[in-house]
Amino acid sequence: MVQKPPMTGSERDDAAFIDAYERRKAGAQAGDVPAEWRAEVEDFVRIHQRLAAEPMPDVSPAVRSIILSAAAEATREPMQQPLFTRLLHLLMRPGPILAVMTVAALAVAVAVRPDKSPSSSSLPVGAVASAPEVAERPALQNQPAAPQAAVALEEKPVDVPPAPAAAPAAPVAAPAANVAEGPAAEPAAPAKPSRTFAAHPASLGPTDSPAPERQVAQEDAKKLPKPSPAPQNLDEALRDDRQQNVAGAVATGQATASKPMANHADLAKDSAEDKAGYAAPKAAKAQAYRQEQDAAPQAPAQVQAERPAATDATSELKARLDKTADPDERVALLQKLVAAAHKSGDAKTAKWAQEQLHAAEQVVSRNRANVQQNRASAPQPQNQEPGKAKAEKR
Amino acid sequence: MERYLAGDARAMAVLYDRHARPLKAFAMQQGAQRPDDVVQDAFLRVVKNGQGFKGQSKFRTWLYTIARNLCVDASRRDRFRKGPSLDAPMGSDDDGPTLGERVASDMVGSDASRNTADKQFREVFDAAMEKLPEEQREVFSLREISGLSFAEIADLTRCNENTVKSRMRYALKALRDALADFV
Repeated sequence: MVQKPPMTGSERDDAAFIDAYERRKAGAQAGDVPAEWRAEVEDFVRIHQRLAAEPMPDVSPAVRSIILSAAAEATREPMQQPLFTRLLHLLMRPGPILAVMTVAALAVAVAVRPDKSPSSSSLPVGAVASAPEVAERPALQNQPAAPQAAVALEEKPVDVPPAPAAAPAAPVAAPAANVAEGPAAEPAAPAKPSRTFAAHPASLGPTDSPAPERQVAQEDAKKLPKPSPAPQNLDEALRDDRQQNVAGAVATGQATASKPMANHADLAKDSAEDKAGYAAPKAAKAQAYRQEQDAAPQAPAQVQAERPAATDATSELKARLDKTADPDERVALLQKLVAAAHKSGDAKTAKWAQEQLHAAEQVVSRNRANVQQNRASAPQPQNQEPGKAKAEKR
Repeated sequence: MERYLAGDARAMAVLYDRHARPLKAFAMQQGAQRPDDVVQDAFLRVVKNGQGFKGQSKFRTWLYTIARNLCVDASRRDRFRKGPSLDAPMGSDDDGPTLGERVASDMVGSDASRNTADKQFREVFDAAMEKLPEEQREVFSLREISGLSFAEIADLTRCNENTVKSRMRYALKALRDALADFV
């Protein structure tokens, strides 16, 4: 039975003893060993020397030949393996496999990620109908009666192809005239023709446009409702226009048109004073303003053309609604108003009309219920006291 | 080992010649009944799994780890195997050498001219080693017979180096007591 020897000291002490023994074994002097260990260390060194003199056991030669032939075969194999097999062996390891799987998982996650870009979810109103707007620009430019076209003071006449959207262009002239009437429900912002700034707008100073066109523009400008007081300088005019466009006023296309047209009087005066030095910076500003207008999410001409018409219908319906108290008639008017508001894109009015419609329908249904109840209670007047009948009627 | 991994088969011959005999001595001290098989299996595993050697430890540590595991597996197998007794005489002659004597003689080489003192020393030494606890015997044989450093032994046995040195001291003390007549 093997007995465990008793502990003769701490492990640290044992380690120090063995270190001394190793040093002595390696050739250190006996005096380097601590005195208390010297005898023991000397005995151990003698045992070591005796064991070192013992020959090592021999291994069978067959084992050597087996090992060496196996090694030769193992070193030959990689060279005989094709490159594809070797690469496959290299790749079929946990590390590369994990890396490939991680990359694949990331790729799948990116591919199935829902597209959250704002451009795809909702488009500004102006951008949606930008094509019809652009298509209608030539059409509008061919209508000198329209104030928008009149304001399009181009240096060079533009040969435009016949607009495919020429039909929608007709109501544009009518809304232009309606702008002169100034519906009360619309904000007081002056009309602005977006398409006219495809050319150099007249508000940006004198250009080389022919005089008759300017005269026509001036006359049309006079027909328009008086806008806010014209700014003293042209930059303020542009700034005001931009602010109004950003605010998203109704019929912004027409609202802005009146302002530059209203400034024609001042511009005509300015052009007489300094024509040459005014054109270049103003042309640059016109270019910038045009680009800004194109980038701004404003209603296209077609939508703007339809908006005035729908707005008129909306205001008319509102006016009639205010005049009538008949619930049934109010329900009918409110239904029409909801449709017109949706058509014109006036979400606020549509929502309000929807709420009013709901309330009106409730009133109508309540009235009908009362009528039915009264009819049901009417055949039994003899069973009730006169006072109770009156109370029920109430 | 690097040369072998690079494709030089002759490097394995160098490794074998350097480590085969100490490895067999270690296997014999661990009680393996067929130490040649342990040496063969250990080197075959080195040949087969050479690519798995990352160089994080010494080759010798790796080799002896393989041999140590093989010895443990062999001892477990042989524990339940009905093998011939080491004390039983071989052959028909009852006075003939026993299997244990033949094994012991293999340990000290096949040189028959060894003097009696050495033989006796060997016999007493083997008996004293047999009596040592397994962990002390392992440490002593790895250090004194196979020549591994205490750091390598600690790495191999998964122990603290001070623990290894402590076991070494106990083993030396026990052997000194057993071999007092020879020192």
